[in-house]
Amino acid sequence: MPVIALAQPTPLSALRDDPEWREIFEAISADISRYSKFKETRRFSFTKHPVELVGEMRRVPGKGVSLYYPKDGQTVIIDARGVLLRDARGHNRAMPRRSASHGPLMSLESVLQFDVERLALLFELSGERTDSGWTLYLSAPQRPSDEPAAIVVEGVERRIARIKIRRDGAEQLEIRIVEARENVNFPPDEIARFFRHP
Amino acid sequence: MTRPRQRWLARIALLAFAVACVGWLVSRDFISRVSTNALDLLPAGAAFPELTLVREIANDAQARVVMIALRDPDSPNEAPREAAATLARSLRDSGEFDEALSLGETDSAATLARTVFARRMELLLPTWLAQRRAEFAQLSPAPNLTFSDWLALDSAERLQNALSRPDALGWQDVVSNDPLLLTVDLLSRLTSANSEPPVDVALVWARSKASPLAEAGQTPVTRAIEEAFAQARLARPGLTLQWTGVHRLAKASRDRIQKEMAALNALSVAAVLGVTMLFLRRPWRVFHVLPIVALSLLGAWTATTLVFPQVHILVVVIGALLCGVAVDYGFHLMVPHADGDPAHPIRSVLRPLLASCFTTVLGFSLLLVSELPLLRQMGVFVVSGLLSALIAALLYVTQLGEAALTPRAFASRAVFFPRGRVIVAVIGLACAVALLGASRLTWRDDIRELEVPSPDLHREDDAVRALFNGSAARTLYLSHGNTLAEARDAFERFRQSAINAVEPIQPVSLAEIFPTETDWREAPRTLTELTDFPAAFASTLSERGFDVTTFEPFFSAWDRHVATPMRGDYDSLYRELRPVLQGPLGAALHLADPPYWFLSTADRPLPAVTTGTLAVSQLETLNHLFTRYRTSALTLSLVGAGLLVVAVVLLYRGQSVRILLIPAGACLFAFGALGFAGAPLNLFHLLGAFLGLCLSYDYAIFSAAHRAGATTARPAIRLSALTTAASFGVLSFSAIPVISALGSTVTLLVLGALVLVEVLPGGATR
Repeated sequence: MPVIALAQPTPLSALRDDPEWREIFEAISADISRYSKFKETRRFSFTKHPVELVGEMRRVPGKGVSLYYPKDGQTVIIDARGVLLRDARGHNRAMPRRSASHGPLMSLESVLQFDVERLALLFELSGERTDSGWTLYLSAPQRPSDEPAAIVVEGVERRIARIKIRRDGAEQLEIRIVEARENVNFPPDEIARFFRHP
Repeated sequence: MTRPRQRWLARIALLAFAVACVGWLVSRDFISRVSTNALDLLPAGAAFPELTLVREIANDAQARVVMIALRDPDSPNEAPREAAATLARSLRDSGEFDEALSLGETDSAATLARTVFARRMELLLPTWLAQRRAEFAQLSPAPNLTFSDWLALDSAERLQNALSRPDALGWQDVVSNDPLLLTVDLLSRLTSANSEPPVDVALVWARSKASPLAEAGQTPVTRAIEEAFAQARLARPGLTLQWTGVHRLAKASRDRIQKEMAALNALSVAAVLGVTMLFLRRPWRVFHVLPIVALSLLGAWTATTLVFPQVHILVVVIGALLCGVAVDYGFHLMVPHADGDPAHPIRSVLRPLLASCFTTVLGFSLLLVSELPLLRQMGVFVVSGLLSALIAALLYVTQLGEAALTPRAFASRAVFFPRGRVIVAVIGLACAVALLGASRLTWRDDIRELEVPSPDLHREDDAVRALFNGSAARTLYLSHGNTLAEARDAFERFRQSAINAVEPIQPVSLAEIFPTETDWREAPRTLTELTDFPAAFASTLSERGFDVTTFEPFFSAWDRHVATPMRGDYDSLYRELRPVLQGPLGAALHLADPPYWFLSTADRPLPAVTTGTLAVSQLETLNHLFTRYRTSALTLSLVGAGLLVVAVVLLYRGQSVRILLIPAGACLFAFGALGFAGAPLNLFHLLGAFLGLCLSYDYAIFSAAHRAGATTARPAIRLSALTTAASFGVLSFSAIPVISALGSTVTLLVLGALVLVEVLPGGATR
């Protein structure tokens, strides 16, 4: 049986009153620039084995989040204007809002920005803590009781360590943060390369 | 014939002429025959097929599109979609629009995607197979595989690689039906190159019934949008509207031109009256020249509408030039000449008057042979107007029986100019300056100079277009043909050329939905070679870790398609898709009747296009046309100037050098001054120069006539030149660049000619 079902997570209203949770929220939602390397696992219903990818994640206040995949040079830019795909030659393509990828990727941006108030509008939030770690569950409102949360965010101390996105009851995407730096001073050419041009 | 009888006959002739002209113009509904449509400047006919096509597209498809963006600042995180739906409904109900869609309400792109997905085998598979076969043929070294086996391997590898793409999570649901990624790759290419509109914007796309370049497509369309917006605001009082379309820009330009022309004409008349009051003892008598001007214009309009079913509004604007010449005929006939017979005012000036009219008519009549409609219309207008002015002036002075305009003393007085070496030095310096200025001249043919600049509207236009298209700055191409197959082939040639360019470009077009006719016909034969493909593909997928059972829908669809690969004829592919190509999608292609065409966009311009495709930046096309107008006008002007030289030499022999020096020097001076001012020249500088040249000939001929002892033309020349300079000087302050160009060129040329008439030895004032 999944751990989540056993855990009986604490709802958001109670988390807000807990000083330690407040500290975690403040740390992960701080509006600062961040850089991290990540490992991504994609699972498809028609493949026997997941697809494993590695990438770099950048976050710059006001510019959103950028995911870069060195294998094929693709970049996904997620910001207030939507999701933009940039290929290795620098050609851009917007991902339509109605596309099925748009929702999960925008959710990812919300999680990485960790605006609790905004997330609370989209999901029911609950959480649980162990000695050194913590787990947040972001569930679609009115989900069936036996359906797991749509997004699970796992953290260690005051950092996000893993994000899992589920769909139709099955885990679809997992992002594991393997190296993270905060308050990174990105040079202008790097910002131009990995974020949307004005 | 007795003089009273002559006077009465002249009056009857004038009256009959006026009544005939007014009667004709009223009976032909004169106003409705004046076109404001810029596309009427385009020459029609087989000699200009590309321009004809662009004209059709501009008039019938692209230009009629109105784009509207709505926001509600009271709800900044939400697009006011229901308000957009209300506005679209109101527009449809107004009767002014063929189509009006709220883009949130009707997702025509999703409908098209679903339709193409359902028919992917017949639409997308043929060209996909042809491309794969071409790749297979080019493999070096050639693989030791059949095409079927290679295709299975290649398709599985493509699918595997695609799973690493960032958008893979989005299309995974269609993969079991479409592991060849036919629909996925097509939709990836067709997706906009930039962002979708912000979340707080709702968009409405509409297409007007009437062309925006005609009045019927301007005020009524603007009113319908205002009324629809008022309806939408009932539920959301804070709603804001941004909209654009050729309708709005053309209407704003027309309104401002009308206001400006009214103000400029009033100022121009005031300037002419001011100069006249300075020159005449009884200034109110200047009104004697008004009937001549009025009859000249009446004659010009009558002749032009007799010849042309539609006359462009620019002819009306440029027709003001005619007033400048017609006024001169009045002055020359009605200002008494010191050595003329006051009882016979016509006799003393008849020869120079006929000569000047002949030279001007000769010059402008060359425009009649132009290939361009505007120049032909102008030629008929000016030539008929000049002849009308001459006849009207002669009849008017005959019925008047005297020279009615008495100049003040100073108007006849010689002006002191330095003589000898000083004058030579001054003229030499002026020539040097003029030559230097002329060497700095540049040409710029920009159709936007026809309108009053509206920076606010253009900013809004850019903003709204960016919301709809992702970017306001993309290059538009048009691939066309007399059959659907030809049009699709034209796009294919263009696409191949673009992707094989040194810097490859992927043009985006809905043409890619359809196979080329060759691929479509070839597909059944190719499929017969691929009988082993399903088994090979399933085996390869399994080897590469795919769950083959999930692809059962694809293999079933493949088998069904192989059984009946062709349904109906090639054109039926297009006919069956037309119902889902609505709104903005429908404006990107034309599948109803020939010439058929597909629009495509590219991120940046291509250096060259292939046969059957042309760049359809309307601006570029019309600017190119402007250049042709200018070149044609320049050629005809030069031929006309040559004929004038011959005519003057034949008529005036010994005096011809001086007569020719005056317009030539004035022309050099005017263009030199424009060169120094750094003003790039356009068609209207050229037309102004042509008129100025004809006027300069008039002054030179009249001053030469005086030298021969026939008349004292000094006051009439000065009055003519200064009134013309005053009226056109006012036009040079116009905010409309072409009117300003016209005004400044005529003013400079006329003033230059006047100075030369005054200073050149042996002239009227000496």
